[in-house]
Amino acid sequence: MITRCNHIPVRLLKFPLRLEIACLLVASLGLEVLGCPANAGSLKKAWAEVDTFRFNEAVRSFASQEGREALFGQAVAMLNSQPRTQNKIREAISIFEKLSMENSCDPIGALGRYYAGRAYQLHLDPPEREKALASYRSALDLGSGLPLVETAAVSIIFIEVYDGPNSGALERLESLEPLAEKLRTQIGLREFHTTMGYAYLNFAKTDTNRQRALTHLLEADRLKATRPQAEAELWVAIGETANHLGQRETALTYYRKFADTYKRDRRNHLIRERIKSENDGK
Amino acid sequence: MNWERVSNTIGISLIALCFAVSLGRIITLRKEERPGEEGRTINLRIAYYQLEGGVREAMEAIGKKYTDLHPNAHITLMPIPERIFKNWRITQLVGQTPPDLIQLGSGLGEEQLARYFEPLGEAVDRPNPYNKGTPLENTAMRETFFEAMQSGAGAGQIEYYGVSASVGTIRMFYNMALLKEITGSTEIPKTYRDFIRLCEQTRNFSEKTGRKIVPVGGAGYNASILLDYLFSGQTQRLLQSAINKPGQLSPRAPANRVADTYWKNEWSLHSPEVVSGIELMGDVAKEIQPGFAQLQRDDAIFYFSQGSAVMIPSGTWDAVSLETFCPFPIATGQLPLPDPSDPVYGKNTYGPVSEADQGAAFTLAVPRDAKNPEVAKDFLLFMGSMGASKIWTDTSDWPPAIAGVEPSPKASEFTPKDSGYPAGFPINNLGADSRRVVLNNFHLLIGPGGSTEAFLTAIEPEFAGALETDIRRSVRTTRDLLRRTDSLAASLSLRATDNSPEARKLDLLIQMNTATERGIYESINALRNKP
Repeated sequence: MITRCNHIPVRLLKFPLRLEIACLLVASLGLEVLGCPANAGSLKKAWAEVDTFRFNEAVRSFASQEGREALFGQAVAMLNSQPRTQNKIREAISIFEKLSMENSCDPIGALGRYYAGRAYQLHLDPPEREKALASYRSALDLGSGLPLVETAAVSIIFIEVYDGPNSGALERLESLEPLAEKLRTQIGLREFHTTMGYAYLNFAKTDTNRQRALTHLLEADRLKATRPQAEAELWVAIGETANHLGQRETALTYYRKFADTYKRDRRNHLIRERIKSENDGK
Repeated sequence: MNWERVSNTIGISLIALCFAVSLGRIITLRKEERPGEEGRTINLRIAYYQLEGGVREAMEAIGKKYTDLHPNAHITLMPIPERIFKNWRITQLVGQTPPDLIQLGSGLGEEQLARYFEPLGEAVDRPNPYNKGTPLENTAMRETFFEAMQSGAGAGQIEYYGVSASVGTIRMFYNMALLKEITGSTEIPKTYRDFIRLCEQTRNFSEKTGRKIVPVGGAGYNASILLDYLFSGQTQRLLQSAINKPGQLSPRAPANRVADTYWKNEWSLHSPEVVSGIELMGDVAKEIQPGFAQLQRDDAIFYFSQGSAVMIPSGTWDAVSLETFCPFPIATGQLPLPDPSDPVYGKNTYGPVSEADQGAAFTLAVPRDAKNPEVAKDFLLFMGSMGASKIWTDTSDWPPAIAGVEPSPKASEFTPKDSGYPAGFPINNLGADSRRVVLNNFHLLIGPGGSTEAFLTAIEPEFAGALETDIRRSVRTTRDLLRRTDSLAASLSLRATDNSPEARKLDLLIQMNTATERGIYESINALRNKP
């Protein structure tokens, strides 16, 4: 018996519900099929997914490939794939370490050691500081000649010097000077000197410290920053530090370079005033 | 007559008619959009949310010029209200049905930019072909913009996605009819003291005539811009003397350094410069209509357009709209920052704040799923040329984004002023929690019986803790960004060979990541060593 008027027929309630469930099952199966890539794709496609921050897609693409690069790519993508879990990060670390132990002489091996450090330092929460340092130091010891791997020196400076008490920071900084001997690339050396220079400025107590800062920053400039913002910062820091230390010629040289090159920087007018004031004081 | 049957018939007929019209429209649109076929036009659809006066006219004029050069192209403008634009945009991008060009901004993050938009590639490092025959014909496209295309750049600035048409600056707008009525003159204030004098004259006028007129029309949005600007002027010298160390001279005040030196007592809320800044904010806030903090931008503009306020601070984007809708003549001038000669506030300031790297406005980019990506990119090159930029400024009266383009007479007032100094730091904009502490207690400064002392007494107990949560939050946010760009570095590292584009991009990214990591660790150091 079907009741009408304001009551929904009881018989009809059951039918649409079964139909709904059936449709949902078919739809989800269909989506599942659509979701699985019909074609596994290439490593190039997988890296392109990393480039556009499609990390979940990249994990799947790498997982369907074979070889060291595919495994490395999978671990890199896992670091940012959703949901981010500590277990996933640790799994990525094991992959990096395994790749590095199997062969530390190829780029994948060297990058694996570097990224293990990165994962310990940046991706685990809380960071595992000592393991990060150990991975970074051993990455540098490989002497890979890869600029990215050599930036491990920069991360060591940040962890050892900044992530610690200010008392003793300068001593810790000075103890890291020998890291330069492990660096072979222009980029690696430039970033090392830039970081050391700014660190000395940040923790300086005396003009001797600031002189060390200036030496590093000048070396960084000699190695040439290619990013305009980095170059502008370097030139201003060199000019200001030299000015503070009374090294007038160096200060003027860098003030002029900055003022003539970075005309649309908010500090330009102030730096021009510094130049004028230096010239007037001559 | 069976009325039910008649009404059902009408209803069904209307539905059928609507369906037929929609179907016809879709078929027509599909025909227009089909590219490449002989005789067919390429319909370039451009979606944007800035509906202020001047924009549509300028885009129509630029579109007309482009189609004169490319007769097979047709431009369709799609203005979308700002309130719904963000949701509409993400729906189009995720659904893979975007128009050919979409305005950036309105909450679009770097991740969405990389995921959904096409990079312009090496075109930004080469001269713009549409600049041939102009003074910029040999200048790399990126260098032709006031802000070097920063507003359209992705993470690490290794890829550029967007091209901007204008730059945004803030000015004070004056109701000239009211000004003349109140002061007997059409001279707008040139100094802070002139501004204060005008405020006093306005209050006297209002009292004398019984007309409800306030000196400054404001809302939460534009009033905070004005007040932050005033406070930052008072901390210009403090930033250099107490917050930056020798060798450090940044274009903007880094919040972590401000917090670090606050925690170490190198400055305090009772430092003369800070007290001065708060007093200045209080003095000016009293000249804004009561309850402004709860009002929206449109409320303030309505108030001004009704002749209830002599002045209103606002941006480039409102200039043409105000001129169009206000039934009185308008003039613009700089915001009333006290200069070094001011008898009360001068000693703490260097002078006017530089607008040298002011952010761009109206930035368009090409979605990855655009139907006509190559034509869309070509349109962007055209829009970023001197010729199109001149059309933009002459039609919209907005300032041009390209350096070297003569702004229209009305836009010249809005062109960024290069000569000036770095701003100090704003007490109201160091982070969400410190901002909340300041705003929650602002009534103690400007309300009845309010005073600087009452305000400072209220905020001081919470300020250090609020700064701490702000810095912790910024560490988390920045670390998330670094995590993502780290993965990008791996990809570039494996593909980089000597002098390859990937090697160049890797180098840029490494420099960016080093600077980002340094910022994170300066914050970590400040938090770790907080007394």
